[in-house]
Amino acid sequence: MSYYDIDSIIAENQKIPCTCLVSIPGLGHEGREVSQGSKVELPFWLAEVFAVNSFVDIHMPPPFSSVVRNALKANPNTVALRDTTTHFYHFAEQLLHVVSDTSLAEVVLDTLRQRSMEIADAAVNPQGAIQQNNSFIEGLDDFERLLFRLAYLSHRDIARWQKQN
Amino acid sequence: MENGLGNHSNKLIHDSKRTLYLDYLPPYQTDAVADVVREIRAVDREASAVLSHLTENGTVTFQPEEHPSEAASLLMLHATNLHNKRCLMAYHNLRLGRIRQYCWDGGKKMEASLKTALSPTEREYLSRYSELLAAYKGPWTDVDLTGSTVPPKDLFIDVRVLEDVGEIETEYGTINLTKNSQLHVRTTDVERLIRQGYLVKL
Repeated sequence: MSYYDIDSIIAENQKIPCTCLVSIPGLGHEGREVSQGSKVELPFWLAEVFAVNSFVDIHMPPPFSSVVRNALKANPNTVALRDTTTHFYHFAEQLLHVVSDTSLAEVVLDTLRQRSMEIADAAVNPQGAIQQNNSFIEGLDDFERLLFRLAYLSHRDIARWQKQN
Repeated sequence: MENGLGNHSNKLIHDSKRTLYLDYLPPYQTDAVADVVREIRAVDREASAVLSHLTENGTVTFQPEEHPSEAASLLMLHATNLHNKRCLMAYHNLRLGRIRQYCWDGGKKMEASLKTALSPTEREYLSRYSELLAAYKGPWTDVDLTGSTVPPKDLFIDVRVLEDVGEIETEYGTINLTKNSQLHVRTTDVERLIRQGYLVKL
């Protein structure tokens, strides 16, 4: 979540639907004016700045829609997070800085908790992962892939060290 | 975005993301960087034009409440510039970090691609950082700060020579290294050359 972090930049680049509260020149296609009340999709870094100054109203982006949330509440392990967006957790964190939505926070945290167990299991047990959990691993978002790689590498290093002696 | 702002910096970010997973450093994107800089300047000119029009060349103070549309437009231009700046900084920071890592790793592995992959300023950074590092290591003659952090397993190891290095001086005499010869040598002498890629451990 730092200034130089590439993943933060990618997460903040994601589009979010907004409704303009004032007409904004220069925002539209080829610099045309966007009239008051019309809907636009803006990158989050811009939407955040506009919302704080009350120039737009931001709406829930597709990755956090009620459809996705219900699916996550039902069974987090079957949802392919990567299909919603590549940086699910980063984006949720950034959004929650601006919007106070405790139910979203709870859903995201709970999802992370449950999926982490599956990730750790898949990383430590590669045979099972390749045959059974393949679709699960393909559905991991960027942060989860990092966790997966870390779990796999640390497990492999311990196994190697144990074999040495 | 729809109006075309922020698209060039996206290219830099994609390149940065790709670099994170690569061992080597891809070539410096001079064109993309130039595009982003041009965009920053164009946005700045536009913002100045809007502002001077509203303040009638500095005579009237700008009241955001009276002109909300123009204020939003100025905010958009400003935020775009900040975002572009951030992308540039992140891209360069990543590459410089790699260059520093290369210096601390002892030096030869990336060298072939490195000459073409760096911009002139990055090359200067590399040479001056290497000098700095050498000056830092200078006072300690019996410890090599950029050496291997893993203790050696055997006292002597077999190596094959990949490139002609000539003669090297060791504590116990000189050794002649000719290409493709296989030698049984003391680990401490050759460890550095292995890291730089002149020899390979068998």
